Amino acid sequence: MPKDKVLPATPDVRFKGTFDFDGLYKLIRNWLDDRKYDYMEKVYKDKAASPFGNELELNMIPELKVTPYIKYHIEILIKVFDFKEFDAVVDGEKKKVSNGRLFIQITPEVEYDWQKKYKEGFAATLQELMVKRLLKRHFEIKYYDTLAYDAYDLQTKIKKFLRMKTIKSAY
Amino acid sequence: MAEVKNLVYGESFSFKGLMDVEDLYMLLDKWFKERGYDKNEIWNFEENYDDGKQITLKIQPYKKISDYAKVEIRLTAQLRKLKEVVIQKKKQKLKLMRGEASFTFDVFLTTDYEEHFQSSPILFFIKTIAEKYLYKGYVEKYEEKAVADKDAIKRELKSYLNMKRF
Repeated sequence: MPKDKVLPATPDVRFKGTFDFDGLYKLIRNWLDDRKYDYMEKVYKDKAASPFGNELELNMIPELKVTPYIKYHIEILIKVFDFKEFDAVVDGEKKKVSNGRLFIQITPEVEYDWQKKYKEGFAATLQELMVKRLLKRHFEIKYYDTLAYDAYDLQTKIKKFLRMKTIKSAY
Repeated sequence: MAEVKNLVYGESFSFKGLMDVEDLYMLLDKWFKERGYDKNEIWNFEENYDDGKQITLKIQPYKKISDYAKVEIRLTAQLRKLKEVVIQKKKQKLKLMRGEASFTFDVFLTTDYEEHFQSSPILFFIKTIAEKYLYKGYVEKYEEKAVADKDAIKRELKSYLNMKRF
């Protein structure tokens, strides 16, 4: 079965200013490790795009086997334009900080039947009936909501790290 | 495709002065959560410029009233030229932002969002007739509820920003 998006619009963060890129990378990795996600990285691109700075692109595709039938995917796309690194003193400590336009997109998805046990014939039809009709609400409440709010949690953590103003979340 | 009815489009107000952006965001989030809306954040931009910080926020929380109708309130907030100021209130120092803000509201009612009546023309016809004549009262009730919710959050925002006419 194809992967199902759990949110109508993917949570994203856009930020322009100075930030700690290494810290941001560690924050995301730690967040994923705490939740026992298997970490995978599809793209890590760093190219000298313009005189204003480099263009950085990262595509992380971590996944978590929740049950033998359900798997979570969180695709994290990070793009930085006009990326420049320089040394600065932060809280009395010498640190490497980055400057640029940052874009982060978090796409949470649920995959059914990741072991491909029911991919053909009558089993596939039965599976579709179960997933799309009989147990639709059960899956939505149990898996979709959990993953969606996990994605929002990661977004809030990133916003907090970047010291953005919209960091408080009621959800 | 589900049918989307546009109930309010581009209703806006603006404000210039002091505000606590973190609390303002929390107020919006909390208000929608308490009324059973699901979070749906479309844009969240924060940019630092020479003349101050600029925040663009577009949220479109939705509430599934039934498995047939869904209400969506889209709020676009643009906060510009934000500069941090420290003010003293009752011997307490508060960090606030001074700047310009504009808020735009759109309200949508989506019917048959699960697309149960889209598979054949006859089902679509039955749905249209039912919506227009048999369940007209229900649909109107949903519309009124959506617009009332928009009015309530608008009032809440104006009252939070201490605007005189709310």
